[in-house]
This record gives sequence, C-alpha cells and structure tokens, in this order.
Amino acid sequence: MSAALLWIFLPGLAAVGLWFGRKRSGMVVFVATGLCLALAGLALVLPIGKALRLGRLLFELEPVMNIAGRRLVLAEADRPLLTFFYAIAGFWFAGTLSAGGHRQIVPYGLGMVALLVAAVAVEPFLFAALLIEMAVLLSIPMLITPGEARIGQGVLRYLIFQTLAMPFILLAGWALSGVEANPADATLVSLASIFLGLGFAFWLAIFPFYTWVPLLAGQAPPYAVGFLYLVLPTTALLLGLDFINAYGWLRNASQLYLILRLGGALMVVTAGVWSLFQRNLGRLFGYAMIVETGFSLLAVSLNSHLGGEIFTMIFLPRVIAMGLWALCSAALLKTGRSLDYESLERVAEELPTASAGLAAAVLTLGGLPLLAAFPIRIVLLQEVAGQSPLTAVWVLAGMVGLLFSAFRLLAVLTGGYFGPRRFQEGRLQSALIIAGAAALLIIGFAPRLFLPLLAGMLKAFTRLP
Amino acid sequence: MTILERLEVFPVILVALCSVVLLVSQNWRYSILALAIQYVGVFWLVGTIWPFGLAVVKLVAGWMAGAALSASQPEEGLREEAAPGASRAVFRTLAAGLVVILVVSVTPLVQGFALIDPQSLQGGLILIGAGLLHLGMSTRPMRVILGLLTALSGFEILYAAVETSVLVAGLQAIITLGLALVGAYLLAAPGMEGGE
Repeated sequence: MSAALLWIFLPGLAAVGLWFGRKRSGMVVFVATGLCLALAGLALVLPIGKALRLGRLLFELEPVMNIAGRRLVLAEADRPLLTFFYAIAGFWFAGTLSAGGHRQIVPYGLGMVALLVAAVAVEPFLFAALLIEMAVLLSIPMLITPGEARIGQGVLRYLIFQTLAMPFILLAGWALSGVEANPADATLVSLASIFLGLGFAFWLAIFPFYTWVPLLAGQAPPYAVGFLYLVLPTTALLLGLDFINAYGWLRNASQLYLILRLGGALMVVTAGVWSLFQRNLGRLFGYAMIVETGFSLLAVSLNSHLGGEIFTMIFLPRVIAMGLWALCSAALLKTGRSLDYESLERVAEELPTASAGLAAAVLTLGGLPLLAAFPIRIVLLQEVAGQSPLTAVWVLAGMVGLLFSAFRLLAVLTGGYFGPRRFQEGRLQSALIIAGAAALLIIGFAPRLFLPLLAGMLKAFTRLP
Repeated sequence: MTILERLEVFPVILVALCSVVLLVSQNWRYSILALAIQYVGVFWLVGTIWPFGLAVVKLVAGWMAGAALSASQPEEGLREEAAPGASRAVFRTLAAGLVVILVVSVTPLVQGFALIDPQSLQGGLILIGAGLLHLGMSTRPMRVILGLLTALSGFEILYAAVETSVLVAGLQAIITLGLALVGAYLLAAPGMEGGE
C-alpha cells in the first residue's frame, strides 16, 4: 500500500463523506477527530518504505505513488511532518464542539489538510501551487457564516492574494526547470528568483502583502481563522524550506538570507507596532500571526543548523497559543459579544476561564518571560543579534509592541478588577482552556523537555546546514 | 498555417473589448455574456499554441464557470455601492485603454524573455492587466471573482506557451470552476439560513 493512499486519499475521501453527513455535527466531529488522531499516531509508529509484520500479515508502506506521470512522495523523513499536520487537525476539530461555529469547518478543514499534505508531497513541485489554490478555495466556506448580511473584505482580499500566488509559483517552476538545464543563464535565475519571491510573499502574507490578515481575522469566525492561519503558512514555510533544500544555487545565494532577514524583521516590527493601535481582538490575532510568520522567516534567515531547530521549535508554542486564542475568542462570541474592545470590557467577571486563557495566549505570543514562546524567542534574538545587531533591536521593538498590546487587552478584559468571580462557563470549554493555558506555562518552565519534540521535521531537509 | 493563426489579431481585440465590458458593466447578464465571449478569445489564443482538443478545455471550463455564476443571479454582488454614472464608465474605459497602451508598448521588451507569439502575449497581458485593474477597483464579490477569472485566463494564455501538460490544464480548469463555485457561494451565503 502507498503512504499517499493512507495520508492523502483516505482523509480526502473522508472529507467528502463527512460533507454529506455534515448535518450530524457530533458524528462528523467525532469521526474527523478520530481519523486525524489515528493518522497522526500511525505516522508516529509506522515506518515508510520498510517491510512490517503484523502477525501473519507482511506489508509495506511504499513512499512513492505515481499518478498520471507525477509522483506523490511521502518518505520516512516526512513522518514527523505528517504527525504534526494531523495532530493539529485532530485537536482543532476536537475543539469545534466547544467552540461552536457552523458545521462546515470540519469537512472542509479535513479536505484542506489532505490537499496541503498532497502539496508537500507532490513532484514536480509546481503542482503544489495548484493544490494549495484548491485548498484556499475549499477554505472559503469555513470563513463565511451562512446568513451573514454582507461578505467581508477580508475574505475577498484573502482570496485575491492567495490566488495571485499561484501564477507566480507556476512561472517559477518553468524558470527553475530552465535553470536546471542551464545553470549559467543569469536571466532565468533572476526570473526564477523574482517569481519565487513574489509567489511566497503572497502565500505567506509577507510585508507589504499582509493587509488581508488582520482584516480577515477581524471579520471571520475566529476558530476557522485560527485553523487557516496555522495550516496555510506552515505548508508554505515548509515548501519554502524544501525549495532551499532542493536548489543549490538558491541555498548558496547570500542575498536570499538577507532578504529573509529584512522581510522577517519588517513583519515583526510593523505588525508589532500596528498591534498597539488595535481595538478588536480578531485584528490583534491577525497581527500576532504576522509577527509569528516574521519570526519563522528570521529563523530560516540564520542559515544554520540552530536556525533550523529554532524554526521547528517555534511551532509548538504557536500551535497551543493560537488554539487557545481561537477557542477563547469563540467562547466570547458565543455569549453574544463582538470582539471589539468596547464589547469585552470587564468580561473576565463573567467568563473568567476564557479571559484567563486568552490572556495566557496573547502574552505567550507577545513573548512574556516564563511562558512557552519566550525561551526560543530569546535564542532567536541572540542569533539574529550575532548577524545584525540593529535588526535584533528592531525585532525586539516589534515584540515589545505586541506585548504592550497584550497588557492593554488584559486591562480591557479585567477592568482592573482581580477579585473573586462567578464561574459561568461550560465544563468542557473550561477544561480545554485550562489545559491549553497550563501547557503554555509548563512549556515555559521546562522548554528543553518539550520544544525539541518537533525538531524531527528537519529530517526531510537533508541538504540544509 | 491553421485558420486560427490567420486571424491572429482578432482574438486580442475580442478579449480587450470583453475585459472592458466586464469592467464597466453594471448588469450581470452582460457581464456573464462578456465573460463567455472572453473565454472564446482565450480558447482562440491558446488554440494557436496547444492542440485543439486541449485548448477547448479552457473554453468549456470558462463557460461552465459563467454558468455557475449566472445560476446565483449575481445582481447584488455586481452593482457598486455608489450610484452608477457615466463618469465611472468613462474612467474605467480610460483606465482599460491605458492598460492596452501599456501592454502594446512593453510587448517587444517582454518578448525577449518569453518564447511566445506577440498576439498571445498581448492577449494574455491585456487580460492580466484588466483583471488586476478590476480587482483594484472593486469591492463586490462578483466583481472580485470576475477580476480573478480574467487575470487567471490571461496567465493561462502565457503559461500555455511554456507548459503543455494535460494534467496542468485539467487542474487549471478545476481551479477556474472552483473560483466560480466560490463566487456562487459568496453570492448565495447571505441568503442562506445559519448553519447551512
């Protein structure tokens, strides 16, 4: 049996089946969560490309699957990546019952994950652009609540920017095949670099193409937005790393790392500063995401083994903090409030768990010491300072901007009152929020124990330093 | 020389006119009609590069996209918020004219990079320019979808010169249809009941 059959086609087919059964939301969530966690578990234990004996049964998961002359390759080194994708999807889907929202999220989300895994696996890579575009199209129904009077500009801009990435990546594929045939052709190298740069800038919402990120986060359901902001940039970042790994001329171009550093720093600084002026929780979430992408770019720009490790270690706090943020925002929305600060004033008095979870998530993404993201941010800043002290200062300024906006949000939520509260929240919701906040604290106290868990993802990129 | 190659300037004029109609029209029926005719132009230009059987995929996908959009009767999704007036139409036509002039002037320069005949290059660039113009000027869902379809069809003409894979053509057709279905969903969603 092929690995692609198990980790791409099975969830894809399940997504189609669940779409038809979407009216039974409990069953849909249960099946999707179970399937995703099972696929994550299988990726953790099943070797790919090696014979495995189960009693009398001898079988092997083949890494390559040929379709119409193209290949879907899921090798042994991709297992941590598969675990990561399906674990995120599983936990996210599990939270939908508590977070509410409309029932399209689970089937469309599962379909998206299958397509994004296919995008990472497909060879030649230009098909990844088409598969990611399909995933983007599939994500639109998740972002619009049926019956909403007006379609927000955020959704439209998201669709425009992500769709515009596809032509650039396809053209980059053409230029790169030309470069492979004739590496000395400087024009083709320049064209490939420009097309790749623009394609990834649109995909990753790199400065100045990130206007849709806070706009969408301020308008669309937070739980769907959180899922989207997690899986799409992660796929694009991994594909970017794959490009750097695959093409020697790209890997050895010193300008690439300079551009990545500049782009990452600009994202952290501009989004960090703009976050200070936000008066909507959703928009603040969007800016926090831009800062996170900026940190990932900075980690890649280090062009070192430690940079690669930092790149992978950033993911764990990000996933937990974003999940917590999305869950808490959804809990606030369920009470009939909007995400505007005026609507959230002293909300901690009625929803203490959601408010505390929100505070933990925002402060983590702001980089507060003793929380999960802080240890790895400090290492990253030290490394960046080693290469460009001025850039590190600017990045620190952006980080402080986001942290101050987190303190401001804390003041809005509590109204300065920290006395006893009446507990009015659902048990499942509270349990999930408390678990998330506790995880952020525990990781912050013992980072060496948890942060290297995802470092296995680097195995897929053998030529990186 | 095929029949399509003999009438090579005609499809460029056709796509340019259709893209202007798409930009100016406030009536969804005219817009869908212009989109359908625009895809005839796209098919024509791609047909000078690809075999007929493969090029016709563009036409079929484009027409199906138009049918999907028209099924949701997108009047509200097309009409701009401000009252329509002659000045708006004149401004948009002038802007489209500037795109055409820009494309004609940069064609010799761009041809140095791309192995493509000038007509296909001009047709592709005009559609990309008009599509981007549409995206930059509009905030309505139907217009955004029309702008994206226009820009992507222009890109498909250019890309046809460098990639003749059947699979790529098929996936591009799926994306054209997917965009139209997303457009139809965007137009229909406000009228749906919550939780649908």
